[in-house]
Amino acid sequence: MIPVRCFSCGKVISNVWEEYKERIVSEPPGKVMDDLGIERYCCRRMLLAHVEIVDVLRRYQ
Amino acid sequence: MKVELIELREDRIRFLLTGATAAFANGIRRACMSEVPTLAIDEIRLYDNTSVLFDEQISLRLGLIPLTAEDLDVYSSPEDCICEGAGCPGCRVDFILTAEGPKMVYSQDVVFTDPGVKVAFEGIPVVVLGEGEKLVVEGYATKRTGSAHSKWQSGTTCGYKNLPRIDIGDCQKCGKCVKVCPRDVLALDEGDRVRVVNLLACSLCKLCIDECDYQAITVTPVPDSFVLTIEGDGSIKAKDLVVKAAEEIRHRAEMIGEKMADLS
Repeated sequence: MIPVRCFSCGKVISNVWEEYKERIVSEPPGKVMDDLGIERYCCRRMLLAHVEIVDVLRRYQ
Repeated sequence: MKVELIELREDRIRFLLTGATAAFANGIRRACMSEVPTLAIDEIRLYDNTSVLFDEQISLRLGLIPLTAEDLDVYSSPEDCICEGAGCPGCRVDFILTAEGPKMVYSQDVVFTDPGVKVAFEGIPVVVLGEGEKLVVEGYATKRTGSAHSKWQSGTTCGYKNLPRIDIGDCQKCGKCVKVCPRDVLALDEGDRVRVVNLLACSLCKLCIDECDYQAITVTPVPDSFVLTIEGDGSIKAKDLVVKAAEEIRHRAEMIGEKMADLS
């Protein structure tokens, strides 16, 4: 699961995660983050470096 | 003291404070971060959680969701409440969250007993539930300040810097300082003379001073002018945040005044 807020600055970033995930398929991530109002590099790495693993974990429930 | 507005958005305010000390600017910054109260989910009871996340992870995620209240003043913090911290409707807002998979549980699925209290952002994923997985949570939110825990912090990113003052003396029009500036503060005008075009963007890094072979440029901080940038967590408008922070400082100053009057 995407962390609710940015680790460094505390800005809520998870509310744009799903839109981000959809849009990076066809657009460059940097541009998408600019559009979504994710400005600082601390917040940008939250989205950019996130790997969703809950669905992998579910197999071992 | 003078305040000049530079930028105003719902979640962020930038303003120029002149005729103040660094201690005062820092006081505003710190009050925004740790003295302006807000609501946050405090304790939860989990009746059922068969999701992939541990109970603790769910409680952490719920705590971080910013909450807005139509009228925050109707709630008191548990320490100041008439119930003396035992827990009553005056200092607690109860909520329930129930969901059954397969579905994504979002922040807006948290239902508060007070219709005036809402999550500040919809669409924050709390947990994803697979086929047959269940989540039943009940709990309450309380009003506290950022000094208790960062989840109650209304001002998240708050900072200030001195207003820079850039003086250009005997310029040789080489344009090196314009190229080296990472924030495009300087530009060459028609007469090829260096001109300051974006003073507020200057971070006083002084790269331009090092680059100039003729020592024609000086950058100095103006000691009594500050550019403050205050960003809220979404639970309160940035504008109101600064006003409340200033009120808090006044309140404390008055308290000191009263204490001092008692002593003498």
